[in-house]
Amino acid sequence: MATTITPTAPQPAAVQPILEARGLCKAFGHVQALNNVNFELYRGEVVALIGDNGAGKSTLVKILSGIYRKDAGQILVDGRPVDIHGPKDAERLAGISTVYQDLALVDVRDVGSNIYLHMEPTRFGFWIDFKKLYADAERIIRTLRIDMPSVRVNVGELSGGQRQGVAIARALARGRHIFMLDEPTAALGVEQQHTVNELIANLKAEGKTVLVISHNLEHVFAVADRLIVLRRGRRVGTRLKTNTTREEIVGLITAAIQGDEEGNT
Amino acid sequence: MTTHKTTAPSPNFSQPLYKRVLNIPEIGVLGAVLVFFGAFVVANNTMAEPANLARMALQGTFLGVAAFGMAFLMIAGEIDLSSGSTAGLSAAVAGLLLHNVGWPEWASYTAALLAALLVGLLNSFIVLKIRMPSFFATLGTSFLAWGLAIWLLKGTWLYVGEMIPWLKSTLDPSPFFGLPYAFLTLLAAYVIGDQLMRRSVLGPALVAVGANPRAATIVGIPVAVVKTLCFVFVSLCCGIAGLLVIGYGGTTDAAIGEGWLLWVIAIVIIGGGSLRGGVGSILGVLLGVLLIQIIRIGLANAGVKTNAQGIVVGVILLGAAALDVLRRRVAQY
Repeated sequence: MATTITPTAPQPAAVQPILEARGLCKAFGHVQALNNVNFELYRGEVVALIGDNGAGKSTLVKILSGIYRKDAGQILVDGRPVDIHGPKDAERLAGISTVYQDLALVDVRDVGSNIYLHMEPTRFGFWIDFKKLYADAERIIRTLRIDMPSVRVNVGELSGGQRQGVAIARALARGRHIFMLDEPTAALGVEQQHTVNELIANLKAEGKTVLVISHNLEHVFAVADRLIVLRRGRRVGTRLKTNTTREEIVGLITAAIQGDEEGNT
Repeated sequence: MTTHKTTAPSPNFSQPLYKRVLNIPEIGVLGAVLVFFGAFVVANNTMAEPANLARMALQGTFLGVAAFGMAFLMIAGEIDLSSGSTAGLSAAVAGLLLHNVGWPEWASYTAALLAALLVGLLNSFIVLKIRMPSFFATLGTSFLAWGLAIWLLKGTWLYVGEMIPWLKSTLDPSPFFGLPYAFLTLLAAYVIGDQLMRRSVLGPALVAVGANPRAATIVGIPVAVVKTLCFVFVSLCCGIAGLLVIGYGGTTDAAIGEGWLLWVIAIVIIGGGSLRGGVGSILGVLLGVLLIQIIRIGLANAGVKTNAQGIVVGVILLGAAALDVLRRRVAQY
């Protein structure tokens, strides 16, 4: 493994979170998916949101990205409360872009066209300026250091890691600065997982903020600065990667270790 | 940091010429057009005569107009099985107003196209609001439009040949090789449509709607609006095609668009479209129209009875599809 990520120092209390949630609650029928959860994301860090199935990871992300409406609680962007009613609000107000597992790419189109889909550089606002489109796409791909034969290859011919890269490049091209990646390594082989790790490291190097939802502890320990553990809709632990072990995290996930934030959140 | 070279082939660079040619999606239809035209010219020397070409163009206009609209709808990932019935309904409305009510041409045609537009709106409403697959939705509206046309005409047909001088004039031969004006207009529409798909921002948006609606939604393309416009557009095209058939024959009846549907869908697929949406070429569809016309007229000229034409066309269609599969395999490896 060649990727090493410099761990960030613990965030001083004075630093304003770029994205914050306070007392989030969400129930589906009788199931309390989120129970008074606090959450914070600081600029330029990589946070992993981990927990077992049904711990509330997806629910939290879907509330932050505007897919679900929260039952109670507050969301703040740069310290200001915002109302997020849909994915568009999340993008516009918070600069959040969520990359879901299915990536939502147009397989029959090439990399450049996917990155600039529906925001193609144009002449007279109508005719696509292909030269500029491919040059810009090339630049974004280089920024993220995605290994790719050409931006003119159809996305359908790419590997899983490369496709993840295209989906992130599309969000980056749209000026988003918070990237929420839903199980980015779920369907990938070892080498492709490595590609995704590099991708996240490069996003961080660009000063972007990344939230990774993952089951994969290897992946999480490779990329994250900070780990937030959820269990049954509650936040039960927060650890800096440098101050914890896999054993402790597994313990928090499975309740073998008493959660430290269970009482006070 | 290790760099791992991808194994994915780069299809656009440093490839032999034959592969690059095989990668052009329209190459198959173009080849078929040339081969069949050549074969029929050899078999029957009247094939290349200007009069014959004009006849092919004239008859190809009707299907060509309908296929033009269908191409966009199928790229958007939907299908309209009511196209033939919509043509019949439009013709019935126009004929009735011209013959029984005595409306002038322009008013009758406007009303006819409004009827077609309503079918398109109904189709998009059922597909997008009620969320019924377009295959079922438009099968239903197909019967509806067809039944309505028969009911309006009371099951009979009307002769309106004397009341439609303008409509007839659109099918007159132009000074340009004697090709009908309507055909030349259609040709221009195809060229414009092809450019819009290739070079304008509309192309990628339409393809995204058909290939992956979720991707389209995520980047802010109004999927439902795009699909509605496509449904309405194909209905209008079919309405126009129905009117042109009146101009050709001078009579109107509900059966005007009968049997079109299979032709239209075959043309779009031969032209590079897919029932799964997201792909297609407007230029390819134009070549598909030409191919179908060459085959139909060529067979007729060669003395193949109308009854037997279907068999021949079926064999040719399957052969063309098989060749296309082969082409893609060779181009890939």
